[in-house]
Amino acid sequence: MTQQKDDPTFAQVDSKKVRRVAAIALAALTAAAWIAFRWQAVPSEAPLEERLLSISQEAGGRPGEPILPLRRAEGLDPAKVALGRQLFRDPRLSADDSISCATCHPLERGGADGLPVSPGVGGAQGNINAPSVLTAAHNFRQFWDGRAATLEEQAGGPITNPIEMASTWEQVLAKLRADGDLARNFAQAYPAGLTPDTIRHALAEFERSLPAPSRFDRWLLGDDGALAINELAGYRLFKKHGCSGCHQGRNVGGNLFQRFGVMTAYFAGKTPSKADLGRFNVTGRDEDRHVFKVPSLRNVARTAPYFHDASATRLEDAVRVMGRHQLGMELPDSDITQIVAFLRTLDSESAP
Amino acid sequence: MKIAVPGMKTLWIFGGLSLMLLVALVYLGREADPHGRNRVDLAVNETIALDLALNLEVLKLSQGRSLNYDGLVAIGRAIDGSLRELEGEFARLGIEGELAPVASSWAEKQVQIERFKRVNSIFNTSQRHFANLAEELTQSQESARLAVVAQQVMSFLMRGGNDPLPPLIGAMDLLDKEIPHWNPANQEPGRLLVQHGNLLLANIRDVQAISAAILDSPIELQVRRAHHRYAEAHAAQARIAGHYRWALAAFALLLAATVILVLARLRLALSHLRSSHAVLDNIADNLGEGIVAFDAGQRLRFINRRAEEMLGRRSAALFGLAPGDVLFGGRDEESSPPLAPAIANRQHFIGEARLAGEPPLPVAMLGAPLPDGHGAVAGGYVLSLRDLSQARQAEARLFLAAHVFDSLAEAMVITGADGRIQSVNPAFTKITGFAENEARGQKPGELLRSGQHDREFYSAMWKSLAEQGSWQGEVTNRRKNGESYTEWLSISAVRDGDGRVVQYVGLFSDISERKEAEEFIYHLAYHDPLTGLANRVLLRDRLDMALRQAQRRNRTLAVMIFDLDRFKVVNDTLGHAAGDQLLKLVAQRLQSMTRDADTLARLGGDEFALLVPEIANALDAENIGRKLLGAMKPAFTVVGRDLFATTSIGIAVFPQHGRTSEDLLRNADVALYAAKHAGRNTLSLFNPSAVDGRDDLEIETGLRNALIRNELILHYQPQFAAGGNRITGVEALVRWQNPALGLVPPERFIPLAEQTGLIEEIGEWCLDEACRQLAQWQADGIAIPRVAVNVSARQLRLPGFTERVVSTVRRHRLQPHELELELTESLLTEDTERTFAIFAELRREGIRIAIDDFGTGYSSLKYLADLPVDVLKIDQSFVARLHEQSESLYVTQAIIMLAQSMNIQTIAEGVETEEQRSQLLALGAEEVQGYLMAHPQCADEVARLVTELGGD
Repeated sequence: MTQQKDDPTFAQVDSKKVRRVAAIALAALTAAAWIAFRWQAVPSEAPLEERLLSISQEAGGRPGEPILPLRRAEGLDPAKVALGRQLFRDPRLSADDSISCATCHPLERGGADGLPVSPGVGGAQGNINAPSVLTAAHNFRQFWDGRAATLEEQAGGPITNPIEMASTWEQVLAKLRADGDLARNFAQAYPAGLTPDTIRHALAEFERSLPAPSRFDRWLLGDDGALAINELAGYRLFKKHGCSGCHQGRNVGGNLFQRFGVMTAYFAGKTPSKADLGRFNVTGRDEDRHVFKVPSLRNVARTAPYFHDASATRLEDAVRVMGRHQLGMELPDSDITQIVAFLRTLDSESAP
Repeated sequence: MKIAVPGMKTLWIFGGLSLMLLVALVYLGREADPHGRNRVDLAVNETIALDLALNLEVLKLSQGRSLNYDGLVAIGRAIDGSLRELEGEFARLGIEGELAPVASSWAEKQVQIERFKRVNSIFNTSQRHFANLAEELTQSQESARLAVVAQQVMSFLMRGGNDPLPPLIGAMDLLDKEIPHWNPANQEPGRLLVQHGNLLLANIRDVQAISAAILDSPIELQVRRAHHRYAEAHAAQARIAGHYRWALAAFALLLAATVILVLARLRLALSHLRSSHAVLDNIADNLGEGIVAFDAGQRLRFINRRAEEMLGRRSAALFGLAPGDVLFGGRDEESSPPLAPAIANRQHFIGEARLAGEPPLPVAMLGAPLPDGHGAVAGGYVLSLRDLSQARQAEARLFLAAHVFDSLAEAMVITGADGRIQSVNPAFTKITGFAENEARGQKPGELLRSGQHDREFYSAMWKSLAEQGSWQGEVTNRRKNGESYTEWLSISAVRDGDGRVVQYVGLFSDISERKEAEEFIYHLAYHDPLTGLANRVLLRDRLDMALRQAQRRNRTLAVMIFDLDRFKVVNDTLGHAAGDQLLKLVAQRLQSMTRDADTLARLGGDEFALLVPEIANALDAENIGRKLLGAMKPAFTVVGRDLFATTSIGIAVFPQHGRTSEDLLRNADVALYAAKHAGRNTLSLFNPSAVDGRDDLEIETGLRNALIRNELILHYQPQFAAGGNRITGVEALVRWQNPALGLVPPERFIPLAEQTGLIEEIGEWCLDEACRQLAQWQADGIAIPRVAVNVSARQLRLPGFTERVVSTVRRHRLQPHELELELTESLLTEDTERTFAIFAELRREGIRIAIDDFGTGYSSLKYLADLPVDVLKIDQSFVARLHEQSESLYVTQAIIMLAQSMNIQTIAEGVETEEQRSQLLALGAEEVQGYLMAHPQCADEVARLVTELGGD
């Protein structure tokens, strides 16, 4: 090696090439380092103003009215909605393939089964009246006691509830994944494919697609001829008696909790069931005893029986109970008739 | 050369660790997410703004300016979202704990909000009912107090409920007590009014407290505090990341430097490797042996140039092939012992094989397994191939040399540098008579010296050997039996690598026979073989010489020509042998009569001539003539008979009867005719007035017209292969059919044509006609290989002769070798160089040259060796006398031998008997021509003959 090093030609040729390579490498490294140190991200302005504006402008409708108009949901993924619709009717979500979501929430009957409590798997009986799913998307929380903050959270509940579908996610996934078409469709709509989350999401997405405007919404949006005189009179009574103190907003309720029996105790003289404790079951606070989510009155005419305990089978009865316990008064029958007439205008005009 | 190269394992570990460190540094040194910072700023602002909006909404609701809780729900959800985002960002920096106060405040606030909604809705409803009932009851004017109390409560509420409550509560109590006294119809509404009024009064403080709790929530402050913490943490992280980046940069530079260093070393190592490889390759390529190496998978990985040459294929086509495919081209291996097992078992191999190739190459092969280790051929097998073909060739050459040495017809003698014989071959023994053991150790010069060469001869020989390394020449030596002989000796000096002479090789053949033949032919050229007298040529020579002397000295000489009267009768009655015998006797007797200065010659047949160079006058010549006539008178005894042979003599005297030899001879001939005319056994002196020129003139005139009148025709005499009936060609002979003169023989008009120059035109015509005829025959399918045409000397020397011949051949679309030009031997004696040059030109064009009448006239045999001719025609005079053990036989044999040694064809003319033909065949004559086979005949007859022969 030493011999070769002494060879002048050899050394010259070699060092020249190496020097060139080194120079290029060092230049590249320097440039890279400079860029690395100088690099700074340019912050982007987020549209805060727009977001706040969108919250306040969601309302619309007639000014001064406590009820806000309902509009069809927009921006939903049709594929996911379709999957949700399919799952909604799929009995495989239950342990013995006997019941689906639609069993207790038949859409054609107002999104609720009309029974006091719904039958679960193996003849089990529910402990609370099934609420409608038709406008559940607009409730601020789900379940009578508001224990679920979102639709997704709710959608999983009945599946694993022993007295409802009584299944487990393992079972459900095993059954659904065996369905090649379904699995394929899921895989197309969701990168994650069939998972508890995607099942829940699909069901929720489907529920978000359900809310449909009513005749009353048309009136709210300025169509004066949308309501008959007695219906409009019913609405005035509804407001006058203070019903709209709680049943307000876009969903005519569904956005606050309220005690059942504000003026006169409802549960006095009864042995209250656990379900009767309402919100207390969730918060454990005494002030929440017998407090329930104020239900939405949309489609109310189609969702008898009423109240969490299904104690009223007719809407007129329900209105009377409400007047007695929440307002401390016996509503005259004529008022009840008119209020019911108004309530019927809250039915969705188009079938879901 | 060894280069320290770290192990592969070390390299991997080093590389892996470096990579891990780099990744770690990149991870640690990444900028604390600036977007994160941005998002946090945004979310903080948003949270604060939303909180404010929430508070506003609460105020609006509590004042009845908002009638639904949707806004409150939406803002709450938005705050939830903002806080979730913040939590995420804080968690990234690990300071999510900083948000705990905000979260708990928000949770508390949410509870308060739910409480607010509940209370607020009840409160509002009670307010509405209170107002409705108060209005209703006031109109009935049931109670004055009612209006006052209602008014107080309403204004209290309008003012925000900040006034003290007790007075109002008291007023409500008073009102309540009044109710039982009211109109029963108004009592129920009254009680409800009181109930709602109390409810309002009872709850107003609650509503106020809840609102206050909501509005006083420390969320904003806490969010701002958390934001500050976040900014600090972010900055700290950015600082730390900065340090890591510096470390990253440093490490990267270090790595780069290392890489450069390694690259440099690698380059250096590569160059060394390359140069040492180049040296190795150079060595390998310049080895005399082929080298191929296979890797462990028995695929060719190395081959040097020699091996490529041996296999006859390029390395590119061979790399990757298995041994059998490389060496034997995929055919069965020709190897002894088998090679494949040795390679398969990794054993050493020694053997021979024949490699693939055209022709297969014999090689010696050495094979050895290569040790395991690094490199392309590790665990492989190397073979060296030594070309055995040269060794084999050398062996073969040696064998051949030995064989040649032994079987060589020429003698070979090998001496050392000292000139002493080392070995001799059998031919040496045969020629010299000395056996090898007798010769060895002797000097050839002493052993064989004949004493015929002087010292200068030998010194010249040695000088040539020293300077040029070789010598050749004619040497006369002595055999063991004392007989001397002539040899053609060529000596070459054999030198070793340093140029020193180590041996001399002498090669010689006994040329005494050839010498004798040459001498004989020389004699023959000047003498008549039958009688031993001078022939016409010698006579001409001597006559010319005598004429020159006579002119110079102003003397007189005489030429006499005489023939035997009625010699034909002797021939016809007693046969040729008797005729010849008589001629010999006549010659002897005449010879005895002449002086030494005289030249007696036989001109042919029974014609003799005598040149008497010194006479006083014509009378003197007549006297000599008479003496000769007298001498002829006694009888000659031939075959036991006495024969009388009288002669007639014609005499011409210089200078009266002519000044040239031609004139003198012709005039002597004319005088002879005159003598015969005058009666036999007499002599006649040339008389110029007696010349009969009339015939010549007549012939010449006729000849001029002959061409125009188409009187010339060609006859063809076929020539045959000596051993059969195969026609090898035809000789064209010109005939002149003149209406007045009849059929004029060529010997009558050709000399005249030559004299007058008509021969040029006649010759041209003959050439053209012969060629035309041959082309015609060929077109008719008559198989005649060639035609021979006689050409006179005069014709030959005309300018452009060669060109004319060639164009004639081309014109008739013949091949040049199908034409043969026959020229008389006498031609060779005159202007030899020019003649030979013309011959050479013609032969270059492919035209064959034949010498006619060979053996009769050639004067100088020194040209014989380089005679540029293709065919010698043996003169018919020799052929005619082959029957006896005569000199003719010897002459013919000598001519044939000579021709063969010079690679010249021979054809014998005038073959008339089967005996002659078989003799000629035995002597080696290749072709024959004569009456025995065929007369000269016209073209149609030749065609018929060929057809007949072809039909055999």
